[in-house]
Amino acid sequence: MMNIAVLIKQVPRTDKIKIDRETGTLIRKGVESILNPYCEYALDMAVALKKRLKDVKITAFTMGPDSAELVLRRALSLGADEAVLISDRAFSGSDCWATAYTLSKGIRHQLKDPDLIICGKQAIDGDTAQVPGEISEILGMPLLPYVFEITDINEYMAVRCEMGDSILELSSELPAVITVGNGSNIRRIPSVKEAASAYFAHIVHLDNGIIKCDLAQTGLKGSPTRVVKIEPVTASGKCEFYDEENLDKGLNKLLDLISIVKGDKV
Amino acid sequence: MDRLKNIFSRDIEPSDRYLADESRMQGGDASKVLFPENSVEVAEILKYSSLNKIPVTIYAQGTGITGASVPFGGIVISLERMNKIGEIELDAESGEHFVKAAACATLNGIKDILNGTELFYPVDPTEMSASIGGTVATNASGALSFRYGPTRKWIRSIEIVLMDGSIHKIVRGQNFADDSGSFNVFGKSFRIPEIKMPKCKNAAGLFSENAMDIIDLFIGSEGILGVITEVEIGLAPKHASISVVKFFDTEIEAIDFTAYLKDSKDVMPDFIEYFNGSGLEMIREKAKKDPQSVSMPKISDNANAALFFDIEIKDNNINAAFNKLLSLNVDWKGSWCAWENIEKERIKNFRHALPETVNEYIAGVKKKHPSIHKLGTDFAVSDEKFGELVEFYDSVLNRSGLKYVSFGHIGDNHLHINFLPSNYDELEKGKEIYKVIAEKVIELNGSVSAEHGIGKLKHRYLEMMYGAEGVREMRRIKSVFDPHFLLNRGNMFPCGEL
Repeated sequence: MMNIAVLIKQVPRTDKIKIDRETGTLIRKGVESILNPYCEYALDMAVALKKRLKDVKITAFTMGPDSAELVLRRALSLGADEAVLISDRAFSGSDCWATAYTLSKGIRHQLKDPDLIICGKQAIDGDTAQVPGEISEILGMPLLPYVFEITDINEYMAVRCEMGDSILELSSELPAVITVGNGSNIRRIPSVKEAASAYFAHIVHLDNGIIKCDLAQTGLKGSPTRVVKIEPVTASGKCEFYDEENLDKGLNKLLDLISIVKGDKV
Repeated sequence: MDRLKNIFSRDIEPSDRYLADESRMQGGDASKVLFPENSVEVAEILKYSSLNKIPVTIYAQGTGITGASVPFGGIVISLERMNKIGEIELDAESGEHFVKAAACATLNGIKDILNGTELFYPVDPTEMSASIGGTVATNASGALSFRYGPTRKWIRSIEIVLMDGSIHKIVRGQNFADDSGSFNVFGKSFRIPEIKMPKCKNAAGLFSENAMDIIDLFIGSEGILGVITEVEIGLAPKHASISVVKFFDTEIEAIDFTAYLKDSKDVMPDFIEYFNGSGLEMIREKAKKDPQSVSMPKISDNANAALFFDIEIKDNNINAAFNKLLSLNVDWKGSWCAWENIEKERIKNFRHALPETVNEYIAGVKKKHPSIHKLGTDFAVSDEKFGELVEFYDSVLNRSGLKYVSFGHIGDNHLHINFLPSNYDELEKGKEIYKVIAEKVIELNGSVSAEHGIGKLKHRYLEMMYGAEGVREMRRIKSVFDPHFLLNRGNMFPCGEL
């Protein structure tokens, strides 16, 4: 059986949300929470895989307060087999890194060795798009970003990714983490029976007593991010190309860059 | 006189806006548009009009589709400056919350005021930019009338200005017709209209009932008796709900399921709405051309009808609500269920997609054939007669070979058949069919207008429904309040030359 984890997030409806002009933050009070649309695409991809491969179990994970159960029930109604809520006061205030760490612990606890982790490319409230990459790093799995199609899946996986104007074809071993960018215009809908089952379903609750995180790495305390300023950026599109003759040079440059980011020699 | 001068100093030459409404009725004409700011100013104008025999047409938001606010001569009173909405108040005796609104306040405006409270105004015509005064004048309703009744049920009091310039507040429960069927009010004595009302949703003609309340004579009177300037509406407690769309292989299954749903005591839907096969096909085609526009799921090719209904979640117990749905004897395969607002909104968009697509279709044909217009029925009958009407619809519409869609308030036995003519001949043929169906509806003691009213476009159907004698009765009542037939002339019945 293939074990797929789908990571989902509860986000405020951005079409209804207002911004506090003084603080520049989102006014979330009174705004309905929904399943992040990109997470719904991720779930759609998992459900499509299940249809294709049959022997698949989809587990939806989210981290948040008890109210986040709602998005898990939505995921169950749309085809997830099991839903896990990772919730503990010690986790509140987590930034991307602390969230990725905590989710990773939860996934390891619940599924041991998942075959595939599918995430939306980003959440529409924070738009950081960091958590999937960080989870791949923590769990030591390759990351395949912006996937819109899984062309083949066995022990290996081949995918097509949308990268700006170009399409990238990637393949990797499993387990792996993929992020999903765009979904289908045709929306799937839960029937009355599916919606009712989702409501009656038991949701697995994992707190820190169960997943045993290092508390120095969770919650506000474990969050290294400090938001100083938020501003829109434009991609420069500046690329360096290395052809076959210069491949070694290119690879070394890449390794150098990675070692700068990671702070150690690869 | 100074006040009148002051009002007339604010008049304008009528622009097209005040000479037409959503009916697109042609030929509107008036000499002046006046903008009173309160009921005293309305009274001054009406008194002046009575003295000088000047016809007056009332204009509010212009959203009516029967031409009721299209003037044919005389002056227009636009109530647009009278749009204030009061605070939410509590009637300590009945425990009902209510709100006062000036005539031209819109339903959307009222909705905004109630936003964030636990209350709502349960009258939901599709056109929420309609004025509250207009909806009272036509006893408007929408899908929710299945559970909550039409406008009439929610009106606690009205302020009305009569043609003699008198202003009256009419509070429900204070003045009833006596045992002989007579009213003695505002210095006028008259008998209630002697007509037989249909036993179904109805917005055609004046209201009449033994021991009726005087307020009910004015509600649904299409502005022919007086000008409504302020309304006090009752509010209902909001409740959470689950929305369901169920697709069916055949139309008859959907109709049978409606009857079953209405009979089942445990599940009381807020409304039940219907889409027929050709309606679903029209939405399918739209979704193919423009998938983003409808944000909806793929409708199965087998689906030939659908029902849409909401059921209440009582005491926050969503599990109990789901259990009720599951207890119904139906295969829920091929259904669409929503409990979150965002998904419920998608279902609502799906509901509105059909009438919008019909409007787009008509607009498209109009480009080639400018004289084409929308032709849709507004007929309703009682529960007992609905099956017979549906059979009649099938036979007469299928035989006609005309393209049409059918949708709407099946819970109230009130479907809108919308014809889709591609040329003028087909429109004319549609009109003939319309008349044939109207005759059948009348034979079944139904209503020729369940929610839109008669206005200036359906006089002959009112007469078919109540007979010449019935219309005479309504004219008699009008003559009590407006002896010179000056106010909103041509609404409900023709007035002839002055």
